[in-house]
Amino acid sequence: MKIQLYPEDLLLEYTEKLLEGETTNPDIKYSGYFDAFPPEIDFSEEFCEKWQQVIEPVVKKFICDSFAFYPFLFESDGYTRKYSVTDVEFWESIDISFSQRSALRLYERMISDKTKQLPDYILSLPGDAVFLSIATTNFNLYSFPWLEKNKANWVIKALYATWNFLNTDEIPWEGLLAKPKTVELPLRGYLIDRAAVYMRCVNYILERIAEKQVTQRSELKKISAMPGCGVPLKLYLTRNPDKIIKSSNKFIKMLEKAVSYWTAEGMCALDDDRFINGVFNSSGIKEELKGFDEVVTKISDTNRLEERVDESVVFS
Amino acid sequence: MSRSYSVSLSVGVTIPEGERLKEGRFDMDFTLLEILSPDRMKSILKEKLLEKGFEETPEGMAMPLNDGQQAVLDLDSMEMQVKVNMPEKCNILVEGLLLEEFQESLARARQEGNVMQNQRVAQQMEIEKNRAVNVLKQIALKAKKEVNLALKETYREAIKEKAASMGNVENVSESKEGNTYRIRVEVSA
Repeated sequence: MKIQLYPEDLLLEYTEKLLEGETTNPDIKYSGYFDAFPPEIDFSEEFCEKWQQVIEPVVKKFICDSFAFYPFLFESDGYTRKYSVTDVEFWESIDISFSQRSALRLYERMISDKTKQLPDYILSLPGDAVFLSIATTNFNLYSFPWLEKNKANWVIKALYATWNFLNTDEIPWEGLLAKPKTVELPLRGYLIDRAAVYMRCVNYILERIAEKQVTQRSELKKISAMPGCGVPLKLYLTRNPDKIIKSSNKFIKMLEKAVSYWTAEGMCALDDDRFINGVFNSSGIKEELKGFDEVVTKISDTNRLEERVDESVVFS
Repeated sequence: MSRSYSVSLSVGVTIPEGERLKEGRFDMDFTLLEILSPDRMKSILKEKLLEKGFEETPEGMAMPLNDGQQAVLDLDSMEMQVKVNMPEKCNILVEGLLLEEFQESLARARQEGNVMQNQRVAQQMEIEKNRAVNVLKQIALKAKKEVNLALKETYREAIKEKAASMGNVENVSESKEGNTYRIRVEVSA
């Protein structure tokens, strides 16, 4: 019996499975025939049109799910306004382009068992990158330097700042704070809110260390995000406070410097400094920074006492 | 094919008094500010410690702890001594293959009227020491926390008493900023 298979059809089926959550070895009916597929492919015009119809709604829905009702700050006729995904002004302000490169990268992934080569994900547009990250559930595929170099717009950067998995010694988007001039207004308020969530996570971990309650490094902490945004921040617990304290101190300095710039010479409108200060006050970041100082002092006091016991305990 | 197994036996060993470490000890200092007279300050602090479950003993104010553990604050010197008693006996694991050698060593010691010299016992003593140090750390941390809380309450009461001696106390407010704790007393002359 002869079977006629079209790689494009199988790619669509593969993509559908990925989007349903089967990110590891999706079960494709004719995957046994991938050996016969060419390592490179030229898509038909029909497929390219169909592909655009697949990607755009997926990415738009993902943006809505990620940001829910979060009110981003926008400049409008010199004044600051707040818009969320429910406002047409939000969508008018963003322009995301997609190409067939995401299809090519997924095709490469689909046949990677045969070719023994991973897709070259960086050969994408930022819009394609978002779709690929959604499909593979991996928002650490693309770095922030890559996003900036490829002129990703603010909403794409906000998505990555939302979904990046964090280690205790590095926040992937802190580089944005190092160049506050380049951060668009909608992203500024969002990053402040996200920073508050991050510090909440850090304080939780450090409190556990201070109380000697961290026994397993593998425990993952999810902190509910700020109101209006449904994505929790995930961070692994650690038994070693030094790294997280060092990286948090660096992060806090960068944040304070960025906020200082945004509310002074870096203003975008006539009144956005007021809104940025408003976000700073309502985000809870001030309380988290105080809490951070307290718990760091607690940990160093405990360490000092333990060192003294080690050095001066007397046995008789 | 037969397999060989390594069996470890737990042997109870009594450590002779001359060889035994009786206790591990660590000392901590506290400061008691003289907002009121030294005697009055000590009296308030004693009250606060009693409220926290401390007991008055001839050596000082003793924090409630398990048997074999002590944390006693001398109110005159404001020095707290934390002590952990070392065990009189311990269990050591002797591998089955070495049991015969262990028994020979024990018999020789008995015959000569000496204390048995054994590396395992020495290793176990080291383990007990480390265990004692960890317990000392835990008790020291707990004691520091309890005494600092008692000191805070002592200062709060002393400041109010001092203010009352200066005039009518109109208002008392407390606030905390970071690691700084503030008490504000408004007095009308």
